[in-house]
Amino acid sequence: MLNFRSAKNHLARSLALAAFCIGSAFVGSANAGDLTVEVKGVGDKGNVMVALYKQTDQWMRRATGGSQMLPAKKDSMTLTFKDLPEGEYAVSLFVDENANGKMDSNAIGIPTEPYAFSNDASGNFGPPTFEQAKFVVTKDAKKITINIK
Amino acid sequence: MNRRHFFQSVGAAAATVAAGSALPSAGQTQSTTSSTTRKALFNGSPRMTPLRGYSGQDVSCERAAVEGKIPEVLRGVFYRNGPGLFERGLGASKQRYSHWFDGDGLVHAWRFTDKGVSHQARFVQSKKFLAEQAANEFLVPSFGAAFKAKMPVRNSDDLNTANTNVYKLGDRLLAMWEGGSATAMNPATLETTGIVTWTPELKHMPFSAHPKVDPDGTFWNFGTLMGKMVLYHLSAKGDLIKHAVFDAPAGGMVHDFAVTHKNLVFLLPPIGIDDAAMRNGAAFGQALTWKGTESTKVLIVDRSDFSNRRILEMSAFMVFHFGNAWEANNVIHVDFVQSKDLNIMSDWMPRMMRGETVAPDRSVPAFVTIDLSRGTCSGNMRDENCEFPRVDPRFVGLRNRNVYYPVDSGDREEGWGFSGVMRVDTDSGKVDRFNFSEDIALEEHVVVPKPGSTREGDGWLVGVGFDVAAQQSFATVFDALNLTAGPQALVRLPYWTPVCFHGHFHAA
Repeated sequence: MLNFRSAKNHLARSLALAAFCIGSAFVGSANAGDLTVEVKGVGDKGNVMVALYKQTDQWMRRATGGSQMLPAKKDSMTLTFKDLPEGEYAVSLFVDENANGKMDSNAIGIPTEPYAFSNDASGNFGPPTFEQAKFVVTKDAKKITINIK
Repeated sequence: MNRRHFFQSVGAAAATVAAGSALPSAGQTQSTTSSTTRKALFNGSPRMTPLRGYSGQDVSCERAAVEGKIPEVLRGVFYRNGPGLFERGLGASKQRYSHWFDGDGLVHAWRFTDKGVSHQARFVQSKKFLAEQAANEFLVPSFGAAFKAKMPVRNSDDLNTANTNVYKLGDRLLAMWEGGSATAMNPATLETTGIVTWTPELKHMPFSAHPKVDPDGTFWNFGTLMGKMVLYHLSAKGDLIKHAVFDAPAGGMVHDFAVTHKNLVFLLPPIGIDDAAMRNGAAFGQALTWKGTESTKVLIVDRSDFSNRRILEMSAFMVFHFGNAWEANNVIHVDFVQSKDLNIMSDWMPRMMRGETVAPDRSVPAFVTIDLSRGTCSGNMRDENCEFPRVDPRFVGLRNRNVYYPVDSGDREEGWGFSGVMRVDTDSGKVDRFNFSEDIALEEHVVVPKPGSTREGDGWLVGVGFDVAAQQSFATVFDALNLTAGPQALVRLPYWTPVCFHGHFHAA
C-alpha cells in the first residue's frame, strides 16, 4: 500500500555502487585513529559489503573512507578501518547473500538483500542522510555497532 | 417456539438466547480475558464492540453452540482474516489506529467436523506484529497513520499486516494483505511460517488480497506499487507458472479484479497519490485523492499472454469488490459493488474507528458489459445497499446467475453493519433474501458447494456475524438457493471477535 517511489531505486543503486568504489588512498597521520565496526544479525550467507564515507557530498556515492568485503558470519562479526584521519564518517553496508557481487532488488527496484547504516539510521522511504548516520573518529580507537534487523 | 420462528427472531431475542439455549456449554474453552466483558465497550455503542479489537491474544473455542442442524456433509474449514488489533500502550501513551485497514491480521478457522464446530483465531506473527507486541507500541507507519518509523522500513513487508484475506493454496494457508507479500501459515495450527517469495525477482512485491481461483484451482493474482503492476499465474499447488511486471495504467490503489476463462478484468478507479502530502508526512491512505473528472479505466489482460493488454474507459466510479466475470461472443460481463468515490474509505472508516455511528455512503450491485469487438462498455446498477459480493466457486470465470451479498435492510438509520443477506439472480433480477433483526451485523458470506453436485448454488451459504445484544460472534449456514427460509444453523461463540474482511471455505 505504500508508495516507495524512486527513493528505493536510488538506494539500491547507490548501495551497490558505494560498496564497489575503491576508497581513495589516504596517508596515515599523527592524528589517525582506528575504527572497528561490529555488525550483528548478519546471517551466514554470502558476503558483507561495507562502505565508509568521509565527505557528506559523497554519501552513498563513493566510499571515500574505504570499503571492505568479508564472508558473512552468523550472529556477529567485526572489521577494522585503520589509521583514519580525524573527522566525521558514516557507514553503509549490505549483505550480498547470494555472493553475486551486487545488491539484488526486486522487479520494481526495492532491495531484497539486507542492508543497514551506522547509528542504525533508517530513512523515510530511502537511505538516511549522512547527518543521521554520521559519527566522529578521533585519534582514539573508535568502535561502532550496526544491527541488521 | 419452532425452529423457523426462533431463527427469524434471533437478534431481537438475542438477550434471551444468550441467557438460554445458546449459552456456552461446558465443553467450550476460551483464552480471552477482557473481550467477553458485557458492557458498553466502545464509546458506549455496543454495536461497535468488534472495532475495539483484541490486544494480541489468540482465542479458541473447542465446541461452539449449534442452534439448528449442521448438514452432515458440510465439513471443512472456514478460514477468515481481518484486522484484529487497533490499540497499543496505556494511559497517556495509548495509541489507536485511525483506519480500519491498519489493524494486524487475525486469522480465524471455523472447523466443521463430525464432532461439531470449533473456532480458533491467531494473530499473524508478522515482523511488524512481533516487534510491536514486544515494544507495546506501534513502530511503523500504517495505511492510515503516519507514525514515525522506530524500526527500519526497507520494503513494504516491514509494514505488512497480512490482514485482509486468507486462502489455502497447496499446503500453505496464505494470509494476504495488498501492498506486500502473502504470509504463509500452517493450515492446521495457524502458526505463521513467514512471507512467501515466488521467485527472487518477486520478493517483497505486492500480492493483492483478492486472488481469483478457477474451478480447477488455477490461481490468479495481481499487485500494484510504485506505479507498477504485477500479475501472477500460479498452479493449484502454488507453483508459479508465469508473471509479468509493467507500468500500471492507472490507480494509486487497486483492490480487486475479476477473471473470465480467457481474460483478467480490472476496473481501475481514478485514484491519485498526492506526492506533496506524502513528502509532508501524510500516511499513504491520507494521500490518496479522488479524481472524479477522470475516467475509470478498464484493463483487459489475456490470461495466456500477459503482454496482450487492452484499455478502455468509463466515467469515474469507485469499486472495491468484484463478484464474477464471464464472457461469450467476445463480450465480457462483470459484476461488482459500486460506490461513488473514495468517501467510504477516506471519510467514513476513520469516523467509524472513532466510534461514530454514522452510516457510510451507499454501495450497490453493479454490472458492466464490455464489448471487445466494438471496444465499448456499458453498465447498470441495482438499488440495494450492500458489499462483499461472492459467487459459487465452481463458476468463477464462467457463466453464473447468482451473486450473494450481505445487505442493509434499510430499517436502521445509522451505524455499522449489514443485517441481511441476499442472493440476486442476475438473469431474472429476482432477489432471495433474509433479514435478521437490526441487532445483527453480518459480514461476508461464501458459497460452499454440496459435495457431488454440479448445479450452481446447490450447497450452502456460510458466513459470520455479530450479535449486538449478546455481544457474541456467530457463524451462519443457509441453503444457498433458499435464503428466505432463514439459516439452517447458527453457530455461536461464547465471545466476540474483531470484524473480518474476507475468507474462504475449504471443504474437507
